[in-house]
Amino acid sequence: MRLRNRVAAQRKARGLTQAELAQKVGVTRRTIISLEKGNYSPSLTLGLLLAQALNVEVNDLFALEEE
Amino acid sequence: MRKIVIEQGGNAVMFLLFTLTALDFMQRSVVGATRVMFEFGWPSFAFVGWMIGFGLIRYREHRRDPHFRLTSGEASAADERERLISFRTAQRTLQVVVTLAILLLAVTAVFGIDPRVQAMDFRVIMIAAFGALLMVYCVTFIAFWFYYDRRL
Repeated sequence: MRLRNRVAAQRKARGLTQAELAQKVGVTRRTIISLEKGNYSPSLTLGLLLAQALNVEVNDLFALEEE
Repeated sequence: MRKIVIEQGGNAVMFLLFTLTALDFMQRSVVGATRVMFEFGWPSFAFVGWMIGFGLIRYREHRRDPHFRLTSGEASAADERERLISFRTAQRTLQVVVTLAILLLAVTAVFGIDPRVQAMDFRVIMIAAFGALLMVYCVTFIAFWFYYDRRL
């Protein structure tokens, strides 16, 4: 199983830059880049923080899919 | 990445100068039955100078980037991703250093039983080898941190 995320799409839809989103959730811009590329799977805490910052449900941001 | 290069690059220089200090101190100093003489050469002063300079560099870096914690050094992390990078880097670096330490033990044993190796040469080789191991630790840490920073 692989964790897919829609962070980039949701972020762009809200007109946020990667740096702005990073600042909102208290991580580095590099972490947002890595997350959007799918290289890094965030912790549950960061996942919830991202959902809160983007004003969406966690399910709208993350989904499991078969590899 | 910058904080890791500064910390471990600085540590590597520190280990190099400390190794040179140890070798120089051993060559210059005498402990005999009739006299005891400790003498310090330029490496000792360079080492002390570097410790002061490195301390200032670390402090300046801490002021620039609060995530670089003076007490944590190379384990400083700005967020959970960097904590994961640090953890994996430490794991891999430990494997490399322990493997090299085992090899060093074996080489020490071989040199120790070789009658052609003079006692002084043996001490010089051992100090240089342990110093080199510490420097390899620093370089390996930077390399693995760089690797995981690109992968994660």
